[in-house]
Amino acid sequence: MIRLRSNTLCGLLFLAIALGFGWAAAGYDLGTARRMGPGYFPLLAAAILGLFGLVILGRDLLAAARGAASTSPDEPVPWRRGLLIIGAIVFFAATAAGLGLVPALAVSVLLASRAGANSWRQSLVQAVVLTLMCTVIFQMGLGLKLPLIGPWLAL
Amino acid sequence: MDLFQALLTGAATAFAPINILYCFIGVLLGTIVGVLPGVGPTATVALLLPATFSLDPASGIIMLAGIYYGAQYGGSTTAILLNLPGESSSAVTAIDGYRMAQQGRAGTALATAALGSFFAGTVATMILAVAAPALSQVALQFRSVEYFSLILLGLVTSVLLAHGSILKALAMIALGVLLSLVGQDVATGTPRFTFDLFQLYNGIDFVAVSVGVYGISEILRNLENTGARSTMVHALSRLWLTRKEFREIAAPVVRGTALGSFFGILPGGGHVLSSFASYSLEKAIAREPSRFGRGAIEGVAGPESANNAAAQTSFIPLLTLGLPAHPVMALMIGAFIMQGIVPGPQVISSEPQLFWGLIVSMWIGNLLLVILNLPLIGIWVKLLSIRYDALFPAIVAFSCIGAYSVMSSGFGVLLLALFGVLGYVLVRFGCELAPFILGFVLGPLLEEHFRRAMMFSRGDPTVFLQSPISVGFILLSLLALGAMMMPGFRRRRAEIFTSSDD
Repeated sequence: MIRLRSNTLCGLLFLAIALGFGWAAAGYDLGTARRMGPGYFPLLAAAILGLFGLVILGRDLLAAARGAASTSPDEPVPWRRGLLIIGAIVFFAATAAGLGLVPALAVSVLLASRAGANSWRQSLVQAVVLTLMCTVIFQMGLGLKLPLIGPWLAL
Repeated sequence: MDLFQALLTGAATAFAPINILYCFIGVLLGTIVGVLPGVGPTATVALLLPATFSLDPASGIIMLAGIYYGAQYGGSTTAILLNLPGESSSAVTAIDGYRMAQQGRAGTALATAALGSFFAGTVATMILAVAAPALSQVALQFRSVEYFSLILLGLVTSVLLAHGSILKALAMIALGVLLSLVGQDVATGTPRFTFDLFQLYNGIDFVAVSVGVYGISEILRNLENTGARSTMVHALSRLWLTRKEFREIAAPVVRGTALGSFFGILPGGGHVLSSFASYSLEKAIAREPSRFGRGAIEGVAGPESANNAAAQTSFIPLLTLGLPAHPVMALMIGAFIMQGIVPGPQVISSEPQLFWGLIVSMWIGNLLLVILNLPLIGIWVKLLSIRYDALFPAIVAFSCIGAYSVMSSGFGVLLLALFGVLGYVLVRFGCELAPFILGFVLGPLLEEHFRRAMMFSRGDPTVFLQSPISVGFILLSLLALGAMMMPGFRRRRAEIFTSSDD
């Protein structure tokens, strides 16, 4: 399997984003240079980003052709731990309003905590302590607009 | 009304015990929340904003201003102790401040930040009081042409600070600008890049973006290596500065204050620019520029002073023109309007008590900040002894709540996750976040002034070369870019940054 080079991917990412935005921007009214529509400036910005993406890509392809080593970082991507963190955030996003602050945050902290070198006991303690702390500071102290226990759990 | 009389009016308001109390509460709350890692000044102010609505206008605004200074200082504290800058301006502080913390000089760095900020705050408040009307005249003369060139210069300057590839840094600016354009077009109301999501009509929430790319992506990066984390093992030697260190910071603090006072007046990211500019200046004139990025005390003193001076003077465009200079000031406008006051030129004459009370309370707020923080530095430094595995769940929790609170919706939290991943991917590719954030903050202004300037010139792009001020800014940008391309400069820059990245 060909190992994709870091800079190749970087150039491709910029290029892809530029094409996506550029394509959408071209769909808006461009207007004229004198009276620009909503699409003019974004199209310009996307073109500039695309240009940089192309140059990054091109330079790396040239470097690869010369046989230069890729500059990819050695550390493996922390898939399991990363997914736990992102999962914890997405869980909070999806359930905060429905479950309420206390249950949503407790589960999120528990999930996030499992990404680290914590024993189950430590994770549970963190979940309890942080939930309590955040409830007192943000909900009671600062009037965060979130019910403690949400409508999904109401009897 | 002459200045002395005006200040007396202000003092009568600001020294009212109840207002001193609210100022104190504001500074205290701002510091406590701002010091929480992952919750930057913007998020802090956004979180605490509702707490001021029940107060009368003067007390409410004074407390909010106190929250802002506290949050700003708290943001610098997390930047220094945990390399977690809450916003782009403290990203500069993190470069050398975090290095100092790693060398066991966290106390010195924090004291430097506090003292520099106090000096800068005092001077900038005086400038604000003396010169508010006159200075606003200078900024008033700037038309869109000059603004556009100035913003361009600011964006190019941010590349000077990038560690890695110049090309990637420039691409990151473009990416930031592009993402900042999401939302309704101001001029025509057309929703752009919104995927028909009404939550995106007001643009991508700044708090979710900044906390995501700085806070969350940093956690993901730290989880790459399972071994001992070198970030958390710094013994603390001293909390105060030596006589030698006082001498070292004196000049950078004064220069930073001057730069910050000037940049802060400019509506549009001047606050962010000032710390970047101060860092570049200190590095440029230092006898050994290679020390920068390795814990140079000037790299903390200059930008922190500049930052705080700009924080004060950025009230000038807000109070005299009704223009927010950065996201926090945009929140301030919201607070003013909630209190029934429309910010603008009329505030000085129609609400003299409020205007001058706010100015006097700024100085009180800065004083309280030093009184409060110097003794508490020990407590902030103790944050370092927390195990990272116990700390990052807390960062996740605070980030989630911060992102939620801005719009009171889970959508902001989803954005947080998205930008956490994006930030992680980009940094893994060797891209820098500071140019991205700056592009994101300045993007809308760049577009607005570009469109307006082109409209006045009837579509003629040479308009940017017809104003001497604009030509000056553009020449400076080209000079900076040209210098970066020079092989000699590139080698030196690479040397500096690789040695600091070990």
